[in-house]
Amino acid sequence: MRSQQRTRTLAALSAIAACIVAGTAVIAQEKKEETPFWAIGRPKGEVTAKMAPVAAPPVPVAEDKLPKLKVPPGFKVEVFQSGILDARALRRGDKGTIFVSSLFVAGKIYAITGEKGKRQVKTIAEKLELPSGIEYHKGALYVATPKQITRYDNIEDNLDKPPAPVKIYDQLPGDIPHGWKFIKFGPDNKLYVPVGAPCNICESDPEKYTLIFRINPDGSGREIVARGVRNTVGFDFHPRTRELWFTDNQRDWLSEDFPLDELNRVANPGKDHFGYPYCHSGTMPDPELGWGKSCDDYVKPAALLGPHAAPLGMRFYTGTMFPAKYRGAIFIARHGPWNRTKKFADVSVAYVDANSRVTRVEPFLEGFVQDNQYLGRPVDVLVMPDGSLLVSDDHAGAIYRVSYGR
Amino acid sequence: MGGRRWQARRRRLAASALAAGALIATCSALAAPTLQERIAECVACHGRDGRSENPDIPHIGGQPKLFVMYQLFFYREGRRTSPEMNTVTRGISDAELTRLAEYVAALPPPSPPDGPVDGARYGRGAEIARQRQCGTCHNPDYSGRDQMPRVAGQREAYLIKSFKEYQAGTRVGTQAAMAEAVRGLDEAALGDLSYYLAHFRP
Repeated sequence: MRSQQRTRTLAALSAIAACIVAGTAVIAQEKKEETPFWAIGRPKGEVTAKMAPVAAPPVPVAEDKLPKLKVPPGFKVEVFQSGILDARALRRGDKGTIFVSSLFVAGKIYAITGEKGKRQVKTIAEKLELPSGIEYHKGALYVATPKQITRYDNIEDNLDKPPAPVKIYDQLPGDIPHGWKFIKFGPDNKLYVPVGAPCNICESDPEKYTLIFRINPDGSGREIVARGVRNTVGFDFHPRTRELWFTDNQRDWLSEDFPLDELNRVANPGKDHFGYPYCHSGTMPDPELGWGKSCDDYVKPAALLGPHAAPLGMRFYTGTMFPAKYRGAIFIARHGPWNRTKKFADVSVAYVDANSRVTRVEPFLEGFVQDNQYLGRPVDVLVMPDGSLLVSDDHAGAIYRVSYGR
Repeated sequence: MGGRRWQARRRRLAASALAAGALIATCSALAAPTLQERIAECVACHGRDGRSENPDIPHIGGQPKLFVMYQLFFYREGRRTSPEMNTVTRGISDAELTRLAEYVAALPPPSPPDGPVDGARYGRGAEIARQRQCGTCHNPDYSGRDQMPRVAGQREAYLIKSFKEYQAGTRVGTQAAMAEAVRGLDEAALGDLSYYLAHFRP
């Protein structure tokens, strides 16, 4: 009798507790909806209250007003093309067309044709939703938005009247936070596609988010390649080992100088987990979600790329124009932090030894920041057939070319 | 209320703006409008000092330059819809867009309307603004910065209209922040919030 009563009381108490927990969860969720996704987790304080993603001007910077960039001795940097609003990913067609995507501001895909002095810029698609992911493969241009991937066949012969796009994949979750894409074909003839975290920091369905997957060119045969990826907006394949390397943007709001964004190597496709949301920069368990987790259970970064650095596009240097030490090194565009009071941005170079170890990372192309304000922000890098390097800048709306000697 | 009078006036203003816009479009092949002509277009509806006399047309004085650039850009590209604004921004160059934004940003910011303030409404609106963290992006005095507009002293009816557009997903921003900020607010709450911002006194 007594124990029955106690059971009943306990049941009632636990029901109340459950209600309180549920109630708190509901309140927490409602509160979440009031806050922009990037501001969730923001510590209190006047300094952090003023931080928000930096909006680029909706007008490209005139050529004579572009930042004066600096390169190491012997290198030269010039403007390849100005007036490309919101220039993001760079790809080159077999016939020499440079394709440029855009993201929040322009919603367009551009094509640049012709030689120096008589270059032409065409808008080949517009009014697209965050079309940052592009890839050129066997005559076709692939375009990825947060929702779907489409293909424009025989694109270089039809720049003035591009064909209607063919839908190849529409099973992407479509979330806006970290839903924008960087896509690339691997040496295995499969298209690699990331799906970032739908938040700054949270647990989400690991089969759907925080991963890189690959599909056949027709969209079939989806396989997960890497897990625990918060937001990669750049990757490439090692020219010799053919392994996938990617940059990953770590969570916001932990502190001014932590976490450090990552360069990662996928040594075991399908098995490797890179830590998000439990472990950051390979060393620090998340203050909320990392309890009971160990960073030793996740793949360590190949290199750390700076606090809130926003490393985006990256390419192994496969050209021969630059001095020998750059061959096989990785050029990485560091877009620069918004989630930090002190700004920086550059194209850095990571040197990789024969054992796939990163021996050093150093700045290569600088001059994007003045008085703690962005004059430009590099997004993607592209190695040209002559060995020069193109760099896109979505803040100033331009593409630069870095060359050596001659 | 005089609402009908305003509506008629608005229609006239709109019609004249449309006509002027059409004229600009027609004549642009012959002579592009000068910056002064562009400015005349702006102030015809938004007021000489950037202070509009029409409840549905926003005050534009003292708006951050980047915000104005973005709105002109969205109108020109057809990503924000207003027949008048889409017409007058058609074919506007990047350089003109920038100079117009500089001009508008230099106009004096609006002051709150005269007359007694309904303390209860003001208080309710202030509480909503606190909960929704409006001051985080728009500054604690709602003066705006960068791409985020000044909302202090803005036209009340225009604020309500804008909030509804964000709720309906018909108005875009540089981020999805506004849609999230006003999600779930009902008619009365939107009214109180708009009243508070329109009458805001630091």
